Amino acid sequence: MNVKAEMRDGGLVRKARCGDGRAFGALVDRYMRAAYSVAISITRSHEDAEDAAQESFLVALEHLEECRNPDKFGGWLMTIVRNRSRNLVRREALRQTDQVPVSAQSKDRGPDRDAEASELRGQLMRALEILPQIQREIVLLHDLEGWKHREIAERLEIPPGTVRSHLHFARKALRTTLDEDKWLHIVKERA
Amino acid sequence: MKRNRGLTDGGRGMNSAFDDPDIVDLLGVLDPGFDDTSYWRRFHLRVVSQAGVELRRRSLQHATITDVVESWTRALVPIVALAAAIAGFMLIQTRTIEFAGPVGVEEVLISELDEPALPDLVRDGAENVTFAADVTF
Repeated sequence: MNVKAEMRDGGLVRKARCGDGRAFGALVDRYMRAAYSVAISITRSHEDAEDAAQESFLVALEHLEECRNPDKFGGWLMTIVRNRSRNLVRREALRQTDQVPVSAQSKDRGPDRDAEASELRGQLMRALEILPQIQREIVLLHDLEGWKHREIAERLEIPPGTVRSHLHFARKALRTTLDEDKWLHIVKERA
Repeated sequence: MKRNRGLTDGGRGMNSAFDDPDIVDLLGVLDPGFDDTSYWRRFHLRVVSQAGVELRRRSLQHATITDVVESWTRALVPIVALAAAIAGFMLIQTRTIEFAGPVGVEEVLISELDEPALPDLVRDGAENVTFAADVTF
């Protein structure tokens, strides 16, 4: 078992500040999925979310001294991800390019050519768009990344009760928007 | 579907009362690793390789005098050891004196020879050797 994988954020941050590549790698490993989830909850596009998440790690590394509480690196990183993602969205809006539908983007990348999965992604993104930003972020961190209420509460600096409440309303809205029965059997077959 | 682990225990037991497996399954499709199993490994490698310059800058910045001396020592010790070994070997080699052939008594009398050369003068088959004691005046 990798020792660095079990080390607390504070220890890893202090080592990364001294240029320890393995410590930084462990932080990337720990937060890359969450960073992507937060980014996609704002950008709503895979490519932009990927860019925002990657850039955020590099920005975080450059400004590690500004992370005043290294044990709360996760929350600090998520703030950077949120800012980078909003900047990306703003830049995109300024460029006034047409938003490529999520389903089309998914078909173009990697081996993902499954039409049903692409269509479901599109539906999910449309359903998520209806939610307020905070609910989108919470439902993705909880139900996609497996973070616990306590972890989300700590990192977003909101009470655990508020996390639960946001999660409840987010799921309810998703259930209403999605044709759940249609998609569930497809997802379960693939799983 | 591959589920990501939480930060602390890799499981979701503590939240089980609040879990909604159907939504969890549906949202799983949004994970780029859903149908591209090497996606997160590539993501990780990309970020770490892009961070290389900054990490090197930081490691140089935090290097203390002790670190510098240690790094020199690390390089210097093997070189010194190798040089000492080569010098020792060469010293041993040069101490072996070889003689081309028998040495005449006149030569012995007029020139100085190293001590190890003397037994050669009396060895079997040294026909040309004439000792001063055998000469009758």
